[in-house]
Amino acid sequence: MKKLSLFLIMALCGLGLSAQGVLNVRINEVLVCNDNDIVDDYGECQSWIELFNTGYERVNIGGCYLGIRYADRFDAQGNKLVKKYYIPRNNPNTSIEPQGYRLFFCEGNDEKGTFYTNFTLEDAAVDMVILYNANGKDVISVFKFPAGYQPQPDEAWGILGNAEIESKLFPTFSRSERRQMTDDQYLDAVAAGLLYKPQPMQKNTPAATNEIGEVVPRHEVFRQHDPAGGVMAVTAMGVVFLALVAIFIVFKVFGKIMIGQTNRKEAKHKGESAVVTAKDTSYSGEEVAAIAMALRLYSEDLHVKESTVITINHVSRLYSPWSSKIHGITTVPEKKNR
Amino acid sequence: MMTFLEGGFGAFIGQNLQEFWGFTGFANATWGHLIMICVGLFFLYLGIKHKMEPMLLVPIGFGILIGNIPFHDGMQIGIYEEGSVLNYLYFGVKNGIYPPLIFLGIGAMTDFSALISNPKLMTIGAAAQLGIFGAYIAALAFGFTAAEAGAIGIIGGADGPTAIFLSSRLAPDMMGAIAIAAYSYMALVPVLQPWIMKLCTTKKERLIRMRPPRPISKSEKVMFPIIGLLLTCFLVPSGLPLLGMLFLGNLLKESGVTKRLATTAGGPLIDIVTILIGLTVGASTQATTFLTEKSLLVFAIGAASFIIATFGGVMFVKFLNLFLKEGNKINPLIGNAGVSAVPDSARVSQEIGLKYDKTNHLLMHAMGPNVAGVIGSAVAAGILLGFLG
Repeated sequence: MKKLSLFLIMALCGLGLSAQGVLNVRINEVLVCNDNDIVDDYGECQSWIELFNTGYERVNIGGCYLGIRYADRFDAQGNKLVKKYYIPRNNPNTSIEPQGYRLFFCEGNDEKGTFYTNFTLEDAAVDMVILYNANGKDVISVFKFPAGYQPQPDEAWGILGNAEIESKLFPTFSRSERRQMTDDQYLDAVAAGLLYKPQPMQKNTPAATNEIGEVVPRHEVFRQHDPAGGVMAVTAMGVVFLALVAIFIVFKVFGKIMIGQTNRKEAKHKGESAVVTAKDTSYSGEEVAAIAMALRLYSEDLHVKESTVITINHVSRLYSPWSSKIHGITTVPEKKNR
Repeated sequence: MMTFLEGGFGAFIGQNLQEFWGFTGFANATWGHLIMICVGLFFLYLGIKHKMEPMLLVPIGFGILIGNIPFHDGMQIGIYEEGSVLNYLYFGVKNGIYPPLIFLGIGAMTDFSALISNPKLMTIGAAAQLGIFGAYIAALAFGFTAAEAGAIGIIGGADGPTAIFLSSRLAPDMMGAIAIAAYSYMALVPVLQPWIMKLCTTKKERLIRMRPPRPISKSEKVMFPIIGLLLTCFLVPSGLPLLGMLFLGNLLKESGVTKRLATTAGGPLIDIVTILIGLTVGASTQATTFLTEKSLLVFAIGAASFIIATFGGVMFVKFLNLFLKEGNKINPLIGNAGVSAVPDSARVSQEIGLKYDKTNHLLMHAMGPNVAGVIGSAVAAGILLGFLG
């Protein structure tokens, strides 16, 4: 039973770890109408979708689905129609490096390569871009255009707010809540609950961060606010003290408990009723040094001779099957005469 | 072939010899190389003749010689040339791999008993980190960036691996100078510290006898690395690589059930990493990158940081004594040990203490702040990395 529990815990931990990576990917920027923006490998201007790995581990999106939702078309269940593109697993480039980006061109022809989807964004009815997990059902990221959105030539929409990426807030619903929703309701609820909403970009930044302002290193910001270093010195010394004082307090208390415990044990052992204080059992430095020295001399005296004697006995072994040539040589096959 | 025939055999040989000469160290030598070779020889002299931190100064000194053999660029032999063997070994320094491994070994060799038996000594280890932040302020005043100042400041932590770890993250260009300064001053602890200790204390204070440490149970020894890790790393997670390995090494030692692992961590492993770190840090001091005005400033600020750290430790003990009862007072001569530099600074406490009272052995007591200094400097490095990294 214990082994089974351990196995289950480890399996759950493993599942948690493997699932976390893909959840870090988000649809970061979308350009619907590409007139003069970047060209693809075929020299053509295509609409594109940018995925961003917000995490600090490499993530493979191979096997996931990238999809779009049409506002004016419906499937058999009455939900808005979603067209999905399966991202092939056999391309190593689907693995996105930490804080890395991947572009997908949306020409509607997926025969051009892994990063070409089978749908196009240049359809006025497209109201949402969705990234699904490998099961094609669980949503990893949604990018919903606002109502009445009219694509402008070379104007990308993107997510801003890199500073808060690490605390990515993805709306989640319980299983029962999800069961009560239609697919449309679920997607709309997810889009409505997102912390970051798409907004028009001042400058298109395919395969790069959406933050176009110069990023000032943290140490420079620190210096600007604390040019002399006094705040840093006081704060950091305070933290060092806090850390070590915390250990001091814990071990002060712990030490007292241990002394009490030792004393009680000793008292019990000796059959005494009174608790023996630590002072009674302590030795002076000279006594400790003398005992240590005596022990050392004693141990050296014990081993001084043995450790320098090397005994080499001649081992005579006339025959051993391991070194026998008889067993090492392949026997010549006998020739049998008929 | 045509050139050979047209120019004749002599010309061919001459041309080859000329090319060969162009590749030799003599042809590529500069004054900088010669100066650095002299520095390397001086380190070897200190390490071998005077036995000053020989484990560190000998590999570093020899590394300086290796790093400053002049050669023609592009032969894939220099430490900064991609693909060279030295560059592969340097990877461990550049990416901060060796320092945590050294900390693992330090943890496996360190006995925290002195600290556990008298936990108030822990605060001395914190006070002595004043040198780090004093040096940080000084470096800022000299015009270094905040990241560079943080990397220079850590010299005051008197801990080579910590200095390498932090400088590789905050100021990789200055790592060679910082590491050399840190190790040099650690070796010079017996020269740098005594006069400050004498200056800051009275004769009466130097004669203070401390209570012998109480015996420590195995439970306390086992609990220390676990509690230490949780308390320090919850507060400063950026110190995790160093503190995590330090406490793991100590747990291997104290648990009593992983003796083989503790022996390896505190023996062969730390020896191997010490050789590699010493050699590569030494070799990283190529004259072209090392002999700069900045390096000189690093050395000057580094010396000041050691002085401030020692001052901070000693003065804090005096301050602490104001609140302690007679009989519980701490000898301020162990304040210097808070700067880390294990075990040299503790030895200095012992030697100075014996000078004034032949029977007053301070070594055992000084080991408390000494190992607290290791924890303190790792925490300080974590804070600097967290703020400036």
